Amino acid sequence: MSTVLLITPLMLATAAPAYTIQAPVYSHASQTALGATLASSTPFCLTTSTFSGTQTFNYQGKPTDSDNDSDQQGDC
Amino acid sequence: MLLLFSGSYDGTVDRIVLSYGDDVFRFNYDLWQDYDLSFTERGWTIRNPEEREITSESVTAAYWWKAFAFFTQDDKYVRAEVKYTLRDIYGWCQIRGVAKGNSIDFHNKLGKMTILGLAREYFSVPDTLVTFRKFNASRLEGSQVVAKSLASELSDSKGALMTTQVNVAEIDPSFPWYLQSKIDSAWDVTVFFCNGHSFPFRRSRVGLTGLDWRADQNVEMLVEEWEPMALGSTFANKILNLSNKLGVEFGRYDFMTVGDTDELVFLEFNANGQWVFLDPFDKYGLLDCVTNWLRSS
Repeated sequence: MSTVLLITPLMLATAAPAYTIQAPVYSHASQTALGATLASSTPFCLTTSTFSGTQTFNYQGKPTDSDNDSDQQGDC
Repeated sequence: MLLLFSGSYDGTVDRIVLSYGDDVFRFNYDLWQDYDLSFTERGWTIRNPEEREITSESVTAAYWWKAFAFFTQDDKYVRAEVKYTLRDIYGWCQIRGVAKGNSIDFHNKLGKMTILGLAREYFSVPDTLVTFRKFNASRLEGSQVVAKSLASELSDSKGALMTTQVNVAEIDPSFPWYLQSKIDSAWDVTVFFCNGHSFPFRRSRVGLTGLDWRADQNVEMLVEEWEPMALGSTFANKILNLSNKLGVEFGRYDFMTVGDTDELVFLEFNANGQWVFLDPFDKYGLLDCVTNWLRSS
């Protein structure tokens, strides 16, 4: 008798994008990343990051999993 | 003064701060140890290392933007205490009517299926089923179906479920499933809604390697992948009416076109949906709209 392998959501899940880059330096004086301006993006804003954990949107606010607008993600 | 709850490397909040001006205080959850904070039964005060200060007397608006999507290396106990405090301050602002936007846990209270049911009144919606033990899944067998995630949590192995086509007959009944009829579509359409204004954008699905556009983004270049589109006042009124029904002033609505027609099918509403990626060069007024909304009482 043959066994049919059923599909699970965990089998369908793919790795979330992860890039290792240097985290931006935050300035408490400007309350933004150092060098951030409205006219031009800062270099680190071009890359999806995970920094010290898994983050599912990048600096530009591009979502990178199926729907990642929850504020309950992260290390809750 | 506007109180922003966020994380230190969030470019969306950088833009808000730069656009809003000086009367803003940003609290970054991941840098919580940098801030002096006191919270008594009479009120609260927060001060950053540059001596910028906000108090329960000076706050005029509070906005929560994905603060807990950032990470700290603290013990779980410490994280919980910090998060509790921040939620409590945000709650303090909510109960006094100065919080802007949707609550931190909006989708814990109002989920995709309930919203889909409300959206039916205004838009076409796809056949959709959330099922345990494949109960009633037979209604979708024989048609093209996609599996999606409800909560968008990553798995233990850090996997994300993108929209993926499945054969209903082959899915494991011992898992919860969120299933939807597959829509053959030429365009993804998303509508950013803020303070009564709708900003519709579309993105061609030509050349996508999978079903989900989120897996096919250029994350290394600052490029415009979405183009603005006109959807007319009737459509904008439907968005407005649905937003009123949901009780929201802010969010992002996702649609798809049916084939290459202009007909739209509603997919979902994101209460705290990302929006900067739609207008990365501030050409279409999204940032101004958000800033003006945060300034409004």
